[in-house]
Amino acid sequence: MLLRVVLKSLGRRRLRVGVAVLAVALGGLLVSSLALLSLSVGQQSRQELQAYGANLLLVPETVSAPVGLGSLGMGTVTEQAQLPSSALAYLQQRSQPVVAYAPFVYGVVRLPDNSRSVVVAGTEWDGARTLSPWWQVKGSWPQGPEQVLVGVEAVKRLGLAPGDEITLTGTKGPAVFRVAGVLNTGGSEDSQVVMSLGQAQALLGRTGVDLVLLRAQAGGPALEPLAKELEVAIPGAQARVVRQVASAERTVVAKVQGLMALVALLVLAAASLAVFSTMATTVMERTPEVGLMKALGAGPGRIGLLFTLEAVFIGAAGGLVGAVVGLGVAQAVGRSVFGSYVPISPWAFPLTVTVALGVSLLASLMPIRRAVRIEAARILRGE
Amino acid sequence: MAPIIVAQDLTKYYNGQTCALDHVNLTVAPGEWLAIMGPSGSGKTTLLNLIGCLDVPNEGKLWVAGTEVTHLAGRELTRFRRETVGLIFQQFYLVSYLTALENVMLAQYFHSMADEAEARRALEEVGLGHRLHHLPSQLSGGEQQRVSIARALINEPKLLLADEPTGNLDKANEDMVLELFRKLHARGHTIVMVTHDPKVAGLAGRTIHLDHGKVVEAVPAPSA
Ligand SMILES: Nc1ncnc2c1ncn2[C@@H]1O[C@H](COP(=O)(O)OP(=O)(O)OP(=O)(O)O)[C@@H](O)[C@H]1O
Ligand SMILES: [Mg+2]
Repeated sequence: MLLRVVLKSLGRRRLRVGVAVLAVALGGLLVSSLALLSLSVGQQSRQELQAYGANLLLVPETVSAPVGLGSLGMGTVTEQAQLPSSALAYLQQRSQPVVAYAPFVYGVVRLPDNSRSVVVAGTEWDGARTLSPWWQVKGSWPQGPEQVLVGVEAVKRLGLAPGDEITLTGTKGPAVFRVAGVLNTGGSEDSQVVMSLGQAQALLGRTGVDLVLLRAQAGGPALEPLAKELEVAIPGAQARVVRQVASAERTVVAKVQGLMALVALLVLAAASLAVFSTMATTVMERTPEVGLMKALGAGPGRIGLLFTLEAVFIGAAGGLVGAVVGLGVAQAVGRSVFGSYVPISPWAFPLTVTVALGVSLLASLMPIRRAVRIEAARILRGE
Repeated sequence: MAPIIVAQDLTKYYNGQTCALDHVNLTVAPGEWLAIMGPSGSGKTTLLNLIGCLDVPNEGKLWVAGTEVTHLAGRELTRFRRETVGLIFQQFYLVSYLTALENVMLAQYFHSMADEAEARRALEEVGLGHRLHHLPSQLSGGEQQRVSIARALINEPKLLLADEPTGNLDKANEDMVLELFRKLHARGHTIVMVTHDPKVAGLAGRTIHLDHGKVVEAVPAPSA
């Protein structure tokens, strides 16, 4: 019976209740998408880099942005400053505290039709796999020297499949390779052909490398002295701490999250105002009704329950709508900003509904108290 | 038979100064129909509020159905009210978004438990069997008042209190509602009714007049 009264009373005030629900939904939307984004962004890229990945980067001294492959024109490859192969020899004999390292050499090669080209990356498989455990290969890892991995984007563009032959023409003429597997890294390798360092150097006519990724056992502040040490030991090399990049990224993410949290708080405050005004108005308008109910024998508990149920309805409806729409917003933001779908955390949904319910109930507290205190005697007096 | 209402020196102040009721003494026998008359502001509604346990007096004693209600407070008073009295108001006070049937069921719900079949029978009894699912706004004034009479009767109260039940009705509807009261009285219900209309009061077995919170004259029943 009480539920019937609640639903009918809400139904009669559809517009005003709708506005309150919408306001709560808006707050819920922000809470939901914020929760989803911070739960996923927090984990994704950084953890991988820090837990397993490289924390030092060696590049030639004169090049400021060695990863910027866009600057590597076809003709300028040979003029590119590079790290001498002696650098690798040094790293090999110096074990502590370097746990693993992976050299990379890059160049552009032509395909047999002469009009198309592709970026070739040469590396040492063991080092690359240790530093990038998230690399995924469909097919198999290269076994012999002529076997290569082709990135998932490049495979699509060039129309290749594992087992296919591919002829690449570098500065030292054409060479034939076999596609062992398709590489998926989520990074720039996806559009490259990745092969062993020796093959790539031969194909591109290079002797040095463009960069070396390193993982040193030391973490945090101990990395800086190590970087200095490596710069002294390897002439012409510049060592950078990768974690700085990651922590800069983290600051940006944290700032964005802080901003979103602030907006969510403001919207929740506005939502609670909307709920408060809706509940206060309904209690005021229904004073005779409440007086009548009390005259009919309703105790304070029943009256409190009646209005609490209305607040619960507003909170739950707003929370559910907000959680669902927030899921969509998080996916849209995830796709456009981070280029990937956001994993759906099982916490986001109950969290959002709980927050919405809390806001609605809290905002209704005063109006409900007022309703409970309405006197039955008022009704006969015709007030 | 023991009286159903006994009031001794019943006194009510509002805001500690306005003396709405001034040492009122009153006795009502079970099955009696009492009319309360008097000018506006004379304390009629105040008296009805006290008898109906909607409010408490400042002085004096009041027994309703053998219970000294001046000793009750809060929750007990609420429980006593819903067990003992049925209330009928000049402005009907039906819940606007509930149908006639649901309005009656609401009184059942607050009393104990909603029972649709019983509520339906109560409305048929007041001649509204064909208006069960109408909202108050879809009913005439007389029909609305008959819904509120059905609502007042649904929990079988010992005492029926009505504050100007025909005050908002035209002649035809007034007659229909008064006919209902006559039937209820004939069936043995105790009725206390406030009215301005001497014709309406004439139907009652006894009339008391209030003025400035005092009973100024009591017309005894012709033969009770
Ligand atoms: N809540 C209140 N606060 C202060 N004074 C009140 C209150 N209720 C009633 N009064 C005063 O008490 C007196 C009696 O009021 P009451 O409502 O009992 O009169 P009444 O006989 O029912 O009048 P009417 O015929 O106009 O309904 C009036 O002077 C009124 O102004
Ligand atoms: Mg009055």
